[in-house]
Amino acid sequence: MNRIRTSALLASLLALALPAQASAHGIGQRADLPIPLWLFAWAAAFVLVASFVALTVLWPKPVLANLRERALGRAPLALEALAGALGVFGFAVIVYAGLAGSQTATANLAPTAIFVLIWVGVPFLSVVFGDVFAVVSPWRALGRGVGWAASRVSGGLPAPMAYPEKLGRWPAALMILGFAWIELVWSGRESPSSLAIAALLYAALMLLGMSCFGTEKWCRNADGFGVAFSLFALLAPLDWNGRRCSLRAPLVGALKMPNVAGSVAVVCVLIGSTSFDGFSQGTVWTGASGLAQQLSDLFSSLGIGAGGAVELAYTVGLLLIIALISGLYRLAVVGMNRTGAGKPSVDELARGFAHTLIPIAFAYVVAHYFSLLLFQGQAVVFLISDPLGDGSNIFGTSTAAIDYSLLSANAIWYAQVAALVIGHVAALVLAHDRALVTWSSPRVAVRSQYWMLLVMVAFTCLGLWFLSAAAS
Amino acid sequence: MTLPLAHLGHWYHALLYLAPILLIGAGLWWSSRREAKREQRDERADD
Repeated sequence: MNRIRTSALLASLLALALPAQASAHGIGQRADLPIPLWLFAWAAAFVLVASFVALTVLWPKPVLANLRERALGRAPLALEALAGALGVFGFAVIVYAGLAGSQTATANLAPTAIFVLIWVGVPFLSVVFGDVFAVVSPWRALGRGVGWAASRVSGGLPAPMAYPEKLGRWPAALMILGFAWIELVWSGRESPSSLAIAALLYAALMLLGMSCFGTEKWCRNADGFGVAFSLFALLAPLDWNGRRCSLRAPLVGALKMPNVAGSVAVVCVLIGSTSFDGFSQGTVWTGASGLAQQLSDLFSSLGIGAGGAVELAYTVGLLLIIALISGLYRLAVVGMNRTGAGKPSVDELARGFAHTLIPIAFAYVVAHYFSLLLFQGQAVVFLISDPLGDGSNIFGTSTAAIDYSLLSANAIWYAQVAALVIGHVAALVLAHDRALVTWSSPRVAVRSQYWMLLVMVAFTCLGLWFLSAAAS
Repeated sequence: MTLPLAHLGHWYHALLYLAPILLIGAGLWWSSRREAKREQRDERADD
């Protein structure tokens, strides 16, 4: 035991000795921040430990499941139909702009609309207003429209095939992975026409799936966008059940996450792909002798062309980071399983605690893309007037410009750190409450969460490291 | 393929992000061991 203590002391002293050298190199530190970037990770870890202790002392019984929702009202049917029509119209405009407009990414509406407005903007809307994508989803609107028209003309469509329950949400996880690959790896992502074709292919795949397995079943399990945004919507204070709307406490909705196959994969892909976006901007990945270069050289030496080697290197990086995130979560679950003497099983626990990853996934979106939405999101003001980039000025705003002085780099950094800390504290709250439901002994429940705490600290430090690497 | 060890000074700061994880992990491991021992003592006392 003495040897362990001595080793821990030496490790601590070494860790404390390193910062002076780190600042001397000016690595990972913004010039005008009062403390080095790595110290934020230590502070965040301290906040998580303090939150964990507070939960242990002040939260002895499960609470979240007993909180009631308050009915607010019902949205008119016409509004739903209008939102669906707007979704289809918007999709058509984006695809047309991509195919017929300028092929300069910044001058064309399609890339900004897909990567910024939809992929980043909709999660922000979802955590406030609920599942907005479900009502504007173009393929869901088309599927429902066709179903409605068929019921009027010929008494309805033939019954769809039974959706294989074993598949669960695995198709959605694959779709999200595919989109992340397009966004972070594919060399064609800068080409508006290639993006438009990819969007059309995705829509065709969705329509085909809906025609086989039914609109709702397919959209709930296989539409990557629909599933991802519906998860973020679980954090919202507004709960939509069809057109009925009710008010609930924030976070409580996460308890409603469907316990189906592939649920864990969906959130791990979301967190992992966002993490890779941050990691791939740091010097460890992009440096002259960074991992990307090393991997590209390796693939080139195997006879793969230069472009293909780079894409393959980035694909490997993306998959490795997703595997790392999944592995960390698995570690927490296996640890919980051992603490609880093998009951519930590892798989049951993995699905049972998957909802705790939702606030983390959203925190990563905020931390990594908040500034993108804030600045590049402004481009919509002029792109909407000139969607094709051909010099038109439909709404008179084509000369607007992006205001980069809206927030300072430091303010963005503080927002990123706050998002990561709040997201992980929210995850700890959800996990603590679920543990109290899962294990009858509060002592075992708390001890099981040691693992979750450790993994949350790991996620936070990893997230901050990726962010600092991108910032430095 | 060589590991990027040559420029150690440009990436070792990543270890500073690992330190809180290791410290908290060690603390939790020590705490859970202590609790397990206490539980064993309580069980023996009950017998």
